[in-house]
Amino acid sequence: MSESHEAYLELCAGKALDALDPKDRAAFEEHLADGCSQCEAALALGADVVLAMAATAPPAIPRSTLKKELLARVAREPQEIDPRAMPQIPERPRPPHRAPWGLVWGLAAFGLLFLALNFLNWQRGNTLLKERDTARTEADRLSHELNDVTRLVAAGQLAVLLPTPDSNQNQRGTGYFDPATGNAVLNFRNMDKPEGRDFELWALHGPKPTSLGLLHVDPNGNAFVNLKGVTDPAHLNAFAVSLEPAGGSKSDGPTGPVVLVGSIGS
Amino acid sequence: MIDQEDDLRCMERIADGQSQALEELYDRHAPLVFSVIRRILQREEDAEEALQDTWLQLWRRPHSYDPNRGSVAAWLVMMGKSRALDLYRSRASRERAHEKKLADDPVPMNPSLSTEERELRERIAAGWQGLEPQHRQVLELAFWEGLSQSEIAERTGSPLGTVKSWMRQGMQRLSGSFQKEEWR
Repeated sequence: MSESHEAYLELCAGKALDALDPKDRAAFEEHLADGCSQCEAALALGADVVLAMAATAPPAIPRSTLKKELLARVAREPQEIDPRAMPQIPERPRPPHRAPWGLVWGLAAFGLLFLALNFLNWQRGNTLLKERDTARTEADRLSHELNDVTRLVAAGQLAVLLPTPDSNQNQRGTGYFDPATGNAVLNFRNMDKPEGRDFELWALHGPKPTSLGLLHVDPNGNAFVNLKGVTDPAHLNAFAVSLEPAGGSKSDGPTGPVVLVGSIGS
Repeated sequence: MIDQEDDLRCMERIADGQSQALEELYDRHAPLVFSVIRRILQREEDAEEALQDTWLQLWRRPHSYDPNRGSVAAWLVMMGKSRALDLYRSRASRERAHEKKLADDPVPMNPSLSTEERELRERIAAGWQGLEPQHRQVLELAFWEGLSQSEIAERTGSPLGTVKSWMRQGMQRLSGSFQKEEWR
């Protein structure tokens, strides 16, 4: 073990206890970012020691109603979007030509794989070629969609749709809206769609609702919406989702309960 | 005692927006985190606020947890402790006259602890008492008072390098005393 690495091991205890001075903390984080299994093992050991120290505190139990209060607050709290959980979207300052490298390499790999399969199965070429063309078309569509998302993330405003009090509290809608173009991308999760009903998305200009169509919810309760040119985007101030009869509302506004609502820029 | 695999599954579900998983982690770990917070903050309402803040932070930013750096339980303890120390410092200046360490006024042992948990706590306490005084002191100053290594050096009048070594040795010896226990 090198002398310099021994110095990092010396810092593990301080790191586990959050007791490092700023300069040491920065150096140690940089070291960890490079990947060091020894230091990570030492940190895991330090975490066990933290638990042991915690166990020396006199036992105390929070009052039983505190959990209910906490969960009520949680229901009103949006979660922060983790960049690592998002698609490979470039950061705002990057020039457009550097944007979708992850996708480009992914598509290139996909294309190579497809060509290799095509070669090995050339006797069944017609079928595979058709599938390849379909895949390329789909890849092009996804590429354009990703570019749309990239532009929206850079220029748009955050939109967060939260469940109304009487609806399923696990439902969520998040996305971006560009008031200059009226374009938006919205992602919905945990949508619990009853049999024979449909979710309908609405744009609210003040109190006036405008239908933006139905949500196509997959079996896992997820739905993705890519909107183009929403009418009068400068005055759009909120999105909402209602639960409607199959096929959507037959009137100018929601006829069923509103299950999600959220203002632009919230 | 604490199943890290279950905790990791809960973390994934929380990241997916499922508040029921947050509730599960609360049921499993809130008593331990609250004990730590309660030892730092003497007022019940302050301790409750710090505990709620801890779980709200968990809800808002579940991705800030790195499983390579220790268990979910330890991460929650450190978040709770950090929030409690922040509150303590922000209120200490105006309430210094009334300050009194809760450790000097211990809460009675909770009767709801299982025999197994109580025995484990006793073994850990014995390991803790078996540390060299200088090791125990630096660990206590870091954990319970939130001092940095240079602040500990200043408080104890010891060289910074010595403080770092004591902290590492203290951790190694303390971990050695309960290594065989099921405490994760």
